[in-house]
Amino acid sequence: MEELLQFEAVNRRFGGVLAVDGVSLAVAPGELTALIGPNGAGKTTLFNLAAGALPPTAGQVRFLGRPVTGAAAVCRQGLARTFQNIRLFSGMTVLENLLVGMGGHGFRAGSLPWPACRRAETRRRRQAWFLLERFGLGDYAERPAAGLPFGVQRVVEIARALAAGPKLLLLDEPAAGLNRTETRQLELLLRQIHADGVTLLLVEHDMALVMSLARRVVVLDCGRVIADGAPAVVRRDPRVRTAYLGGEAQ
Amino acid sequence: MMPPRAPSPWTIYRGPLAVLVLALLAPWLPVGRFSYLIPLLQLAGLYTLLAASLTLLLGLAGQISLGHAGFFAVGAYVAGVAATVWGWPSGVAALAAVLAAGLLALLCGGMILRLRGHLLALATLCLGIILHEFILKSELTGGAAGLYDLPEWRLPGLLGASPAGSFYLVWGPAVLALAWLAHLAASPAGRVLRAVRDDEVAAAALGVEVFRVKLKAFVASAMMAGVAGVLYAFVQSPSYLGPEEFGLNTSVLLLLMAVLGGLDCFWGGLAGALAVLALREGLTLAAGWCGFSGAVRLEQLVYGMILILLLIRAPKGLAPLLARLAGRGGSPGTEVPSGLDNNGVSNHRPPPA
Amino acid sequence: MTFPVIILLFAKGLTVGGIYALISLGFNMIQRTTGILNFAQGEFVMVGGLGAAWLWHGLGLPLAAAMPGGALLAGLAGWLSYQAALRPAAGASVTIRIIITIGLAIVLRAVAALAWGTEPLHLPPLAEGGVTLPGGVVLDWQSVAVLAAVAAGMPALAWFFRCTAAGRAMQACAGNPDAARLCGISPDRVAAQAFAISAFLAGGAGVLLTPMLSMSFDGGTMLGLKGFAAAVLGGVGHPAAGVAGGLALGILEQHACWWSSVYKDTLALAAVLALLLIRPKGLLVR
Repeated sequence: MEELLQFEAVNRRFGGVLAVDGVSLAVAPGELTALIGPNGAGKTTLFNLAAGALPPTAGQVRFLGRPVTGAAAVCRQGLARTFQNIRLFSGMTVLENLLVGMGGHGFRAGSLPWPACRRAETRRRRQAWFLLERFGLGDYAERPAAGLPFGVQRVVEIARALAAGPKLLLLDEPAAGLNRTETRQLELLLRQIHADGVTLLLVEHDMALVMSLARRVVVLDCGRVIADGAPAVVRRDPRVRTAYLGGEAQ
Repeated sequence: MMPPRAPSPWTIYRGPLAVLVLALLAPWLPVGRFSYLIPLLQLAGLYTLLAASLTLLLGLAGQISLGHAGFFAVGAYVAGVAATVWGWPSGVAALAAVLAAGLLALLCGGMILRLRGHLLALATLCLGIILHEFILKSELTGGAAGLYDLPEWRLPGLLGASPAGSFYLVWGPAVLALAWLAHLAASPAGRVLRAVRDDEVAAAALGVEVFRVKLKAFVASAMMAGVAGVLYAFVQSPSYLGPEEFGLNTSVLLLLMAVLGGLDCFWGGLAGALAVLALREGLTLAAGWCGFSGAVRLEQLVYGMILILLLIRAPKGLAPLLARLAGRGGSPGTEVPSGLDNNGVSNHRPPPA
Repeated sequence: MTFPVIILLFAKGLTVGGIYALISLGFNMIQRTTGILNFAQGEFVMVGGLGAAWLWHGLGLPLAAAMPGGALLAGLAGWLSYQAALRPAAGASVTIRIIITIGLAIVLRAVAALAWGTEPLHLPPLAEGGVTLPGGVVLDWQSVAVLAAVAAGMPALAWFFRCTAAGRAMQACAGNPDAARLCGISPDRVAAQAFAISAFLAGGAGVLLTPMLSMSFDGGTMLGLKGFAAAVLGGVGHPAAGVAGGLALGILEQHACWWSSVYKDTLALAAVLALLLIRPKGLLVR
């Protein structure tokens, strides 16, 4: 079975700093994996490498067997992501945000008023709206994305990534800034998405969420993978404890 | 519950349709003593087309151009030189001119669109000035003396002899440009442009080829300006084509018109062009009445002050203000909200270092 | 190109470049503090030059008073410009405020023409003669003054930003106006100060320039543009880089002038464009 995402001895250097150090990792279809580690461990860099936002300094990142060349290209192949600081399109409504990822925007196709384009557009709108409804955001469809409550914006960003129809969804700290109730709702949402067949890889600091949700936990420290396995196993790993707590701990 | 509907064609095109009707009627209005109004409105049409090209580039795609008069110049001068110096038929010359503007935009855009913000502003500024310097100093373009006796385009027959003969030739493309902008605003292509404007990184993460989108917008905008150039050469001022209209002042004026009119609305360029021209003419008239005729400097002072006042009072531009006053604020298809939050403060993200 | 010619081109280039550098310093200050690209920066240069010429010629003040007087006049114009044109629009987008500076430039040009007429005015040079450089080229004292002003201006500004409360407040606003507000800094007052100081610097450049090239009411536009080019070329955010950009631009211009006096501006700008493409972050930024 083909792996979805592969890191093959990947290095990423920023000047003198080696943010990612010889990471070899694979994510298989159907997984629900969390990437954790102390601050500065290289998690977001790894994400950016996977999403094609950065090239590796050494090694190879592959998605569906093919090398990742750029963000737009890998998205079209089936990888979508959210951002740590929510990056919604502030000048558009929620529905329009979702529609951006749904294609049909070849300049020729979309820039002149052919009737076939209108039909395709109506179809896309319906799809996007049903997606919003599933997430309980139907009422927000025509609202400008900019003024929404933080928790709603988070879910909109996830919905937008899903609207692109990905096989693999990368979530960068989706629970950041959410209270307990919202985190619980997020967990249910993510379970639902996973049950629909989308492979999930998330970076997260909220340990409760990670332990409850993830089937596999990868721990990063100083750019290297120091643990990789089921949540219960990883949490007992002494190397993980040292990395987080900096010394002997019970 | 039903999903929200896309704006209907009527909603999208009723604005441009209204402009079309007004443009059709305008030359026939009984203006009596004010017969200079018709040529002035014709000039407004030309500026509308130019300002619309900037609305596309800056308002929709979020890319700044401080040298757009350069593409205007390319359109006018390629058409002019081809028709007079090389003796090409004017239709072929016109086509060549628009293609030349597009080609130039493709080549230059390919290089400079990787720049952002001030760097892009400076690069387009340089481009515009270089083009202006070239037409000012090259023998091919007649230098400062310019070109004379270009072919004149007028509508055929009876219509050609009337004031509408050249008026429609200018306003036709202007209305088409506005209609296209209105369509874009509501279309997937327009959405992608706005996504690139609001957040390039997020757009790329959703599969948008950011650079290609910017380039297409740049080329389309340049070709629109090129069409305006051809119209200037063959319709507006065929007896004499000189370099004065194509310098930095014009680039700045176009920017002013686009922003003053409102980058959010497809008809922002129209509002801006009308406002600026009305202001200039109005001040000259007022100066004449008050006995200050010839007081160009005083007019300039008042002109500048009123411009500043308008910009302060209407931070989103005149078009949204007027639409709100008419009680029609924010109907989908006419207004394309730009990336400004409630305080009017831009929350465009700076590109990652 | 003989040795004296090279020296001459570099000397003249540094002089003209020094002027651009001074303009770019002010431009940079406004841009970093408020985000505004000040299209009226060149007009402040013009006000400085014309103001000084008027003080010296029209009011008969001695040169030693007229020169700083011109720069102060420009600084005042800058402060007033902010209060009248930009502060009322404080809530508007950066784009609108940039366009407002276009209107400001129009107003300043008109005021200058009304106040001082449309004929170019000049100032006498600081002193006759100059410094003899290797190769037998004489660098006149005016040019030396320009270079001295740039050489003195940079550490002065550095001191200002690092050691004075006002300077630190300006840096705070440049980084994060909201956080600055929380510290009790008023971005509004800081912006007014930035405009005043930038205009003063620009006016100083104008005062130093006028004896060399005379100044008229519309002479500011091109200078402002070149100051903008210098600031961007050097790398926005780095006042020192703006100076480097200005000097580079001056030298480029003089060399272009050597190759073709007709196309000198074209060549210089083409070189600027090329530099932008090669080093898009700026000359000095790594």
